[in-house]
This record gives sequence, C-alpha cells and structure tokens, in this order.
Amino acid sequence: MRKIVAIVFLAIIGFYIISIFSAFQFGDKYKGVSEHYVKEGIIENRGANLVTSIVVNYRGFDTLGEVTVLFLAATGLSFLLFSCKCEREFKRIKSSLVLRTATDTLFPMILLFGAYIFIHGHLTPGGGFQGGSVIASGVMLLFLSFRSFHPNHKTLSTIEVLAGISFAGIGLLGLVYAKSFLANSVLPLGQWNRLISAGVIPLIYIAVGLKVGAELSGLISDMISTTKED
Amino acid sequence: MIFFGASLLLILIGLYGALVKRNLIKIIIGLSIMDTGINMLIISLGFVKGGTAPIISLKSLFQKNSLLVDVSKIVDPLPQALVLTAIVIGVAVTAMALSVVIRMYSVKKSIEIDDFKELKW
Amino acid sequence: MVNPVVIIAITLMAAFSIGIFQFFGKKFVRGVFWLTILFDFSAVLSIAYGFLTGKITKPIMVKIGGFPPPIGINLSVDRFGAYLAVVIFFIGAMAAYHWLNKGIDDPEPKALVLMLLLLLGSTGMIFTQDFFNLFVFIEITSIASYGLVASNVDWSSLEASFKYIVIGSISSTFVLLGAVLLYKFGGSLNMLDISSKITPSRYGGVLMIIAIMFLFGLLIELELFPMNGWALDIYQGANPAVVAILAGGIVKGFYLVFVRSAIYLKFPYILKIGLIFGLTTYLVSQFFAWKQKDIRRLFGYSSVGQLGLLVLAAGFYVGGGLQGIDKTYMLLAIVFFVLNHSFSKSTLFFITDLIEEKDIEKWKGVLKGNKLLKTLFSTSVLSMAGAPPFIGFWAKLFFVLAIPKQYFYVVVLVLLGAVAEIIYYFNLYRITSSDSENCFEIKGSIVPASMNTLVLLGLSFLSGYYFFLYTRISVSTNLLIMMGAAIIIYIFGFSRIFQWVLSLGILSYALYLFKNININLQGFFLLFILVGGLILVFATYPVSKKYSWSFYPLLIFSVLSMVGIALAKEWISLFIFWELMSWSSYLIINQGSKAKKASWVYLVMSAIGGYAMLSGIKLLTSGPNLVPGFNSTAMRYSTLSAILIFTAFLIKMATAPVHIWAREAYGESPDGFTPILSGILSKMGVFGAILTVVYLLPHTAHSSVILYGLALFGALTALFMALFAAFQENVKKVLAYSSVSQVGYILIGIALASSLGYSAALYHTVNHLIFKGLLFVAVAGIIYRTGTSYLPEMGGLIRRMPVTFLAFLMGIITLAGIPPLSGFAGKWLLYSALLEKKWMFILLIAMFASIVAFMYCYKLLHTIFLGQLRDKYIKVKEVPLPIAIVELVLAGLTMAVGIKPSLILDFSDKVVKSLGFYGPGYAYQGAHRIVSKFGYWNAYFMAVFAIGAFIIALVLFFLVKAKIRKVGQLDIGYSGEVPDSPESVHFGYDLYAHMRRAVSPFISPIMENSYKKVYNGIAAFVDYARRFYTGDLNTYAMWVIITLSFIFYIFYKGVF
Repeated sequence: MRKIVAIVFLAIIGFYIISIFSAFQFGDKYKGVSEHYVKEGIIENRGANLVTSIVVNYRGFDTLGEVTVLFLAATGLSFLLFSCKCEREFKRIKSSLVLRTATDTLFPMILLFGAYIFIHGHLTPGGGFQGGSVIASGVMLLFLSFRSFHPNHKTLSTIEVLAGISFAGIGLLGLVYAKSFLANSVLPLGQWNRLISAGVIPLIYIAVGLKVGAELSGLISDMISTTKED
Repeated sequence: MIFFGASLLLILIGLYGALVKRNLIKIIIGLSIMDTGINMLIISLGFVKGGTAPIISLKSLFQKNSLLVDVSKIVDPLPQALVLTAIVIGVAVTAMALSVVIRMYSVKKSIEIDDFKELKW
Repeated sequence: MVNPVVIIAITLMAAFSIGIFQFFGKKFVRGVFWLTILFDFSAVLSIAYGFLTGKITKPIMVKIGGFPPPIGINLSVDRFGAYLAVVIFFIGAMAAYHWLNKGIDDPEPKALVLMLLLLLGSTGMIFTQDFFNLFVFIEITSIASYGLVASNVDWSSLEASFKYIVIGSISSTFVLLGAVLLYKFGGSLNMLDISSKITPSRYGGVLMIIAIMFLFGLLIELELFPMNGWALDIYQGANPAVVAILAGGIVKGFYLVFVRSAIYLKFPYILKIGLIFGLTTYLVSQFFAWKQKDIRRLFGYSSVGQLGLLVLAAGFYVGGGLQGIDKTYMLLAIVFFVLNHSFSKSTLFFITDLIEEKDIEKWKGVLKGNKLLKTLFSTSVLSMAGAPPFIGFWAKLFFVLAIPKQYFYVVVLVLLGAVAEIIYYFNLYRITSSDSENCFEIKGSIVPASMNTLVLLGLSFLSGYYFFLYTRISVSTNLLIMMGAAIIIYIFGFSRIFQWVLSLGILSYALYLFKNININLQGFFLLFILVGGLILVFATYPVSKKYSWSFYPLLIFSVLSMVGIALAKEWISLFIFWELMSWSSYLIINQGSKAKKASWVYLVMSAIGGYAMLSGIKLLTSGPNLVPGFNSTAMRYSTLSAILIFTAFLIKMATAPVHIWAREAYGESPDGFTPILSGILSKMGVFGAILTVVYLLPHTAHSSVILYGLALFGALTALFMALFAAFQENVKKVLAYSSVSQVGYILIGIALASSLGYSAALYHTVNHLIFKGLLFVAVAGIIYRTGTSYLPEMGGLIRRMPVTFLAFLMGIITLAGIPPLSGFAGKWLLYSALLEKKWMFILLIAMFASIVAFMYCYKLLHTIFLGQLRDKYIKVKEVPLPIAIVELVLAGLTMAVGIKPSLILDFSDKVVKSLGFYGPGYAYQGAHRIVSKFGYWNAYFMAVFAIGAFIIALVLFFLVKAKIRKVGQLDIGYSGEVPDSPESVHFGYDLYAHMRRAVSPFISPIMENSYKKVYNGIAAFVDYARRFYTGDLNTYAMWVIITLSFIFYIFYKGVF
C-alpha cells in the first residue's frame, strides 16, 4: 500500500519536474556569469583551472561554508559518539600480510599524491577536497592494515585548526589589504600556468587540503573507535 | 536529455527509499542516492556539446592575456564548482545520519523504524 | 558598525580554534565561546542600532572577493536581517548559558562548536544574497541542529534527530534543485540578478516549477501542516535549550529567507500558500494542542501554529495587494509576532527544563510560592495568548486591522484559532496555578528566562507605543501613568496595608483628575466606575490577605482599564481596554482557591466575546480608515457587525444564552473582588450595549428586531436567573444569579431605546452597584468571619453581627424593589418605559421575575441571619471595620437615594439628553413628585410612610417578643439520635424543596450542559485527530511528497 502511494506521488512529482527539462536543451550553450568566468577568469585570477578559480575565489565564500560543513560533521560526529557511554561490540579483524606490506609502501605515496593534488589545484584537475580525500584514504588504509593504529588526535586537530584559521585568516587579510573578504589580490597574481601564481588560491587550497585530510581522517578514526579494542 | 531523465530517476529512487524503506540504513542509502542524482543533474546542466574541460593549461589556448579558444567550446565551470560543494555537504549529512544511527542502535539494538515511534501525537 | 562578513569570519575562526583550546581545559573553551558570542552580539547590535536610529538607511552590501554582485557572492544586510540576527544571537546566548548551567554531556567543547556554528549558519542564511550560498548556510544550520537535537541524554532525542535529518535532507534537496535550476534559468545565482530577470508574466511552466521547488524546500523547514510531524517530535524530544534556539531563532531565520526568496522570485501565489497552508497549520495546531499531555509538545504545537500564522501574514504582506498604511501594519504585525514568539517561547522552553517534568498533570501547583517563576511563566503565556498589554496582543491587533476586508473570513478563523489557543494555554495555566502539595525544585539557572522576559516586557512597551503611534489613537497619559503605578506596586510588592492605601490613593487621584468631566454617557460611567471602585476597594483590605501579592495591582489595573473603556473615543481603544479588563479580572478571579476552572470558563467566554467584538470592529473599518470611530458605519455588514459587537457586551453582562460563566466565576472569585465584578465590571457590558444601541443600531436594517430580541434576552435573563438563584445553596452563587438577573432588567431598559428606558437602565446601573455592592461586601465580611459561604452552615448571625444585618436588610429591601429604598424607583421607571413602548409580553415576564426574586431575597436574609446560631459561631465577631464602614455608607446611600431619587436621576437626565433625547421621559412636580404618562410617585411621602410602617411593626415585634422561646441548633433529638450534619437540622437547607418539583424542568442547567457537550465533542475529536502524527518517519516523508504534488497540481494547472 505504502509502496503504491509512494510510486504514484513520486510519479506525479517526476512528471512535473521532467516537464521543465524541455526548456533546457541538453548540451546547450550557457549564458550569464559563467561566460564571464570563462572569458575573464584567467585574466582576473591567473589560475589555469577555471573550476578552482570559481571554487576558491569567485565563490570562495561557498567553499568556506563547505569547509565548515565538513568540520561541523566531524565535530557533530565526535560529539555524538563520545557522549555515548554505549558498549562497543564489534572487533577489528586482523589484516593480511599482503595488505600490511602494501600499506607500508603505498602510504607515503598516497600522502604525496594527495599533497600533489591540492598543491596543483589551480593548474590541474583537483584541489583541496580531492587531495584531502586522497590523504584520508591513505589513513583509512592504515586503519585497515594495523589493528592498533591510532592517529594522534592532538596533531590532527592542530593541523585542522591551523588550516581552518589560515583559510579564514587569509580571507580577513583580504579585507584588511584589499578591502574585501577573500580578495585574491593580497598576493601578486603572477604568471598564468605557473605553480606559484593565482594569488592566494594555492594557499587556500593547501589549507583546505590539509584540513579536509585531517578532518576525514579524524572522522574515520572516530567511527572506528566505536568498535571494541582487543 | 537522457542524463536529465536518469538523474531525475535517481532522485526519485532515493526519495522512494526514504518513503518506503523501514530500515534506517536503507533510508540513509536512499538519501545518498538522492544526492548522487542531484549531483549528476547539476553536472549535466553544465554540459556543452563538444566542449572541453574548463582547464586552460595549454599555451595554444591562452596567450597575451586573451583567450584563444571559442568560449562555447568550454563546458560551464560553475556547476562543477557547485557540485563539489554539494558532494561535501552530502558526505557531511551522511556522516551525521550514520552517527545518529550508531547511537540509536546502541540504545535499542535495532535499526528498524518500528522501534522508533516513541514521539508521536 | 562592523562589516558583516567579519562576524562570520571571526565566528568561524573561533569555532575552528576551539579544536586547540580544548586541550587547555574547559574554561578556556568557554572563554573563547563567550567572547565570540559577545563580539557577534555587539556587532549585530551595532548594525541593528544603526538601522533603528536611521544612521544606516540602505541595506549594507558586502562584496566577497572584490567581485561585483552577479560575478561573486555578496552579502546584504537589511533592516530585518539585522534585527533578526540580534534576536538569534541573544536567544542563542541565553540558551547556551542555560545549557552550560545545567551541564552539557562530556564533549562540551564540541557542543559549543556546534552551537557557534548553528548561530553562524543562521546568520549567514539571513545575510547572504546568493541562492547557492543560501543552500550552503542552510546546510550548516541544519547539520549543526541535527547534532544538537540528538544531544539530549534521553534516547528519544535521537529519534527526533533522525527524523529531522531525513526530512531536512529532502528539504535541502529541493532547495538545491531549485537553486541550480534557477541558475540554469537566469544565468546567475545572485538573488537580485535573478529577480531582475523574472517578470510575473514569465510565470508559467518552467519558472513556476522551479520556484515551487525552491520555496517548497523552505516551506518544509517552516513546519507547515501536514508535513510538520518531525518538528513536533523535535520539540518534544530534544533538549529544551536547543529547542529554544531552534524555535526562538533559527526558524525565524528560515522564515525571513522564505519571505525574501518569495519576493525576489516574484512568486505570484504566495498569498494562496498563506491561505491554504499557513491558515490550516495555524488552526489545526491550535486545536490539536487541546488534549496534549506532554508540555513540550504542547508548546511545540503552539510554535507550529505561530509559524502558520506568520506564513499567512507573509502571504498578505507580499501578495495581498496591501498598500500604504495597511502594508505597514502588516509588517509591524509580522515583526511583533516574530519577537513575541521568539522571546516567549524560548522562555517557556527554558522553564520546562527548569522544572524537568514532562507530563502536564504533574505541573500542578508549579507556580505556587515562587513569585519570580510565576511572573516569568505568566508573562510568556499571556503574551503568547495575545493578552494586552503584551506584544502578542499588539501583533494580533495589527494583523487583524491590516487584513483586507474581503478576507473577513480569515479574520474570523484567526480569531477562532486565538480562542482555541487561549483554551489550551489557560488550561495549562489553570493546572500550574492550582494548589498542590507537590514540591518543586528549580533545576538550573533562572537567569536566561528572566532576561528573556525582561526583553519581552521592554518590547511589549515599545510595541504598544508603536501601535498608538501608527494608528494615531490617543490614549490618556494620566491613565497610563496610573497603570504604571500599578505595575510598580506589583514589582515592589510592599506590605498589604501599603498596597491598599496606594490603590485607594491612585483611585482618588483619578477621581480628582476627572472631577470636572462632562456628564454624558462616558462621563457618567467614568464617575460611576471611580466612585464605586473607591468605595468597594476600601472594603477589600481585610479579605485581601488570603490572596496573592498581585491582588491589588491587578485590581487597580482592572478598575483603570474600565476607566479606559469609558474614556475611549473609538472602537479600537475600547477594545484594547476591554481586553485589558477581561484579562486582569481573569487573573484576579483565578486567585480564588476553587476558582481555577471557573476563571478558565470566564476567560474563554470573555475571549470569545472580545474577539467577536474585534471582528465586528473589523467590519466597521472602511477603506483607509482602519480605526473606526463610534460614528462609523459598516455599509454592507452593519447588522452582522452590530451583533458581533453585542456579543462581547452580552457575555460580560452574562445574559441568558451566555450566562454559563457567571455562577462559578462570581461564586469562587476572591471575596474582595466579587462586589467589583458584580457592581462595576458587569456594568461595562451595559455601557457598551448603550454605545452599540446608540451608535450602531440606527444604521442597521433590522434594528427593531435586534432590540426586541435584546429585550427578550433581558427579560428571560431576569426571570430564569432569579429562579436559579432561589435554588443555590452558596451565598455568593445566590447573589451571582441575582446580579445577572438584575442586569437583565438593565438590558431591557437599554433595548427599549427610549428616554425612559435609558433613564431606567442608568438608574438601575447605579442602584445595582449600591445594593449588590453592599450585599457582596457584607457577604465578604461574613465569610471572612465564619470561613464558609455555604448557606446551611450559617444562621442566627443577627445576634453576632447586628450592623451587618441592618445593612444587609436594607440591601435586600432595595433588591426586592420595595419602597422606601432606592430599588423602587428603578422598577417604576422600567415598567413605565415598557408600558410606554407597549411591550406587554416583556413587561409580564419582568414583573413575574421580580416576584420570583422575592424567593431568594427572603432566603438570603432568613438563612444567614435568622434562626438558630450555630455553636461554632457563638464567638464570631462583627465584620471588620473597613467592611462595616462600606456597608453603612452604601446603606446610607440607598436610603438617601430612596428618599431623593434625583441624586442619581439628575445625572442620568444629563446622559439621556446628551444621547439626543429631549428629556428623561418623566417630569418633576415639586421636589419629590415624579410624574410620567402612567402616573406619579412621591418618593418623600412614600419614605415617610414606609418608615412609619416599619416602626409600628418593630414596636409590635418587641411587644410579642416575650413569648418566644429559644433553642440551640442541635437541641433536638429524635429517637435518641443526635443529628450532626448541618443540612439535616437547618431549616434553611433547600428552602424551596417543595417548589423544586414544579419548576425542575426550568432550573436544569440545559445551557451549561450543551456548552459542555460542544466543548467535550470538539476536544474528543481533536484528541482523535491528532493521531494524524503517527510518529512514523516514512509517513512523515510521505506527507512531504504528497504536499509537493498537491502544490504542483494546484499552482501549475492554475486550479486556484
């Protein structure tokens, strides 16, 4: 019964929503602000990756919010899980030799790769979130392979805090030196397509990368710590 | 067009999960599917026929402060930026939901909705 | 002024840095937290202050990243955003203080971070001018609330949180979909930019669906019926501190965002959304709350209802076609609603956490003893229920005035909801204020609730000021100053005797102020109120000790509000003081120990009356004139409007079909207040009725029918209430019915609408004050001495209280209308007037009623004073001195007026002339001979004659007295059994038992039972209907989807 009602009403909604897509031709040209981003993006920001320019500069405020959301999730999660005095039931299983050996070799490379991604965020596909996730996946690998692995929480939160503060701080610097929050012209824009270019974009992306990496690692560690120690 | 339809279908499937499934985890999965659907929709809204990625790193595309490539051959970069944010937010919500479910499970040893109908009327 | 983006950046940095500070200890974290809150609060306050003083006139635009609006994100802080941010941070700070004081579960720093980010998210949501950025901030807010809602130790909070997560995700899905499709539609995400690309003519098809999706996402967060089950669950299950922020601040943020988006999107159906969803939500939740057992869920229903009302108001504001002053009124109404709800509701949630009791029944007696808690709770509840002079009242008034007249049904429905709201709020108040042995400990700090209430009081003052400013209603400053004095008495308490002296002082001062007033209808009643009030308040001192410290301030308040009614120059200010009078008298009546239920019935009836009057006034408004004067006419609806306004007055007079509150309210109200209730307060109904007959009825087409109906009501009231009175066994209830019955006579006089009729009505008004005041005061003294108001326990008191007996006797003689005292003249005038109009049927009933009245007159005198004295009262003393003085003064008055009726008639003549009649309809011949068409009557001669007869009878009595033998009350024995219950040997018990059988069909409480049946029927229905909220998450989600498809259907197809 419930299923039928659900399907009927979802179909009604789907019917109305699908009707609007007739107005948007798939693969159509765009207009409006994106045109500006594409045309002027490089000139204004010197970042080769337009998406990064948008994410960090044109819509940098969104990204600040996004970082906050992730931070919020991490905080909320540990708030909920640690105020719980519940018993832990699941055990962590011992991992295989293959996994452990592979981790030994792969982990530094994963870290390096993550760092590469977020440092080159303004030049190549990728950026802070992607790089941070890659780093966190490395930490995840550590958790999988070593039963007693525990990241140092103090270090993690210190990285997180410093990265977070430097993001907001760079924004405030912009307010002080360039009259608007998150202004890119605090630093010289430099040459297009160089590593050191595009103003504060790389700095912010590094901060974001570190923060996301630390946060996701913390998230994983929090979730795993609800399982039983041996 | 098929992208629009497919992503809408994903959204509706996700909603269906939230409407019908009695298992808390399955509901969360439904929400994630919904998120994915939206993300796909956003990306496909930004697609341009025959367009390239909005990364201008080749010398041939940009010289002397002017863009050499036809603007209409670059896909819309804004939806891609938006989708990045949307993905992270989706992750955050999922994480919150999962942690609540972990606590709920530890209280009642159950993840069925029928055991969580204390608040009503 | 601080750059708004700095607020967000600093808050963020603080939230991030708590991660490090937590290693230094909790104190550090708290320090950072409070510093941040302080900074934020003062920053938004400085912006709001700039707007308030006019230093900042345009919205503050902040470009982020240095890009002009459509390219980059920008913030825009307008007036309302700034104000709302102040409210949010204030309530957030209070809630945080409350929570910290109660103790947060272990990872306290994390909770503080969540709190900071919750406040940050909602501020950003209000400030941002970008659709996608709005989505991000909504998510920040939501995720922070998910975490905080789940924080309570009780596991049900987890359930609430999970429901919130699922529904919240669905909501944000639609917001996101709407935002990106708006981008695709308009080529940018900036609100202003998109707004400039939308014209109402483009609404249809695509844009409609997109706008609906976006707004629908916000509507879910606004907790509209039928998709608000999750919200109620949160109110019920989550930590009250968190709920206080959510209900008090965050939801208001969503509301502002919704309204603003609707304006930017130029959504054409916003009024329809308000009418369909807002109004339904309001009504449904006000009724569903009736039978709610959980106090937090009760407040939850109330919150949801208020949100519905807000959405409705927004509908009118944005899409109601309001212009000019109407639009300003509506805006002020919205602002006041928001402020009222934010501060009152968060206070109430704090209090629920201080008491830590969920079941309403266990709140019995919570307010006993703790003055501060009682004040906080009452203020919030009164303001929520829309009692004057609190902000909720002004909000409701503005709202009603601003609604366009063609939406009169909305006014009626909203006021109906308001009555429902009063029913459950004061059911709660009844429970909390009743006596109980329960001991309550306040767990936590009372500071946040007190701060909130302080702000609420300040805002109430401000909003009242704004009301008078914008409506240009003038109100006597002196009156307000005196009311302020009453508040000061309330705050400082003082000793009882000092309060008494102060009250008398205030009333004398008022009398002094108005001593030269022109004697027209208003002036007559003004003097009547003040002189009567002075005399009756004088008698209250001995009995006042039994009642709460708020007795005298409320007494002053109610008397002064009656003065305000008399001074009113247009309907609205009459309504304002009318409500003030109803509420203050309710609060006094509620102080009687058994009066909780009775006062509740009184309040509900008064509310029905008051709101009927308001809707009647609404009908009188025309065009730009939103404040109808007494002379204004409602062209089309005059009859309806007159009937509605009459309802209020009839209810206050407690005439026949609406009398149900009278017996219990008179009977159980504090003894010191009953004389005022009967002598003065019920006369305000008389005043209003005369006003209506004089000003409104001439414009109606059916005035003669209405008048005859009124007269019939009056006659039936006179008859039946006299009959009911004869069968009561509680002395105050006998007098209660007697009062109502006498008011029936006055109503007949008014309904005659002739000069004689008005003379009779006005004369009897004063006369009734004299004798009923006398009787009630005497009864108060007797109850004070004997401790009982049960007639069969009295008897023979003549020996212990001769003075009182004498006064009481005179009162009864006046009541019966026997010459030489003042009662006769009133009846003579009335019967003359009836004869003049040839309403013989009414005359017959009225005369028959006065015969019936003898039954209870005799019963009172006989049962209280004559017969055997009970052993218990052998040592009882004469009534206390102030009461005795008042008795004698009033007895002297009735004597004086009896000999020289012109003492009152001179005044009433002036009034009658001011009403446009030539003269009073009778004439004097010589000093004492009054002549009408039907005969003459010489008061002086009659007095001499009657006093002579009295003396002869007295002499005879003393001659015969020697033959009387006295026996003690229990000095009888049948078959060796000694009776012990008073009823079994009291000759006065059920005095008219033999008549009971004859009249029993007439004295059964048919009306009362039918009212009860209606109430119980509705209550049972809503109790069943609220099972709509099954508590099942899937069902909740299903309703969301069903609602969306419904909206799509009706708006897309243009069904409406």
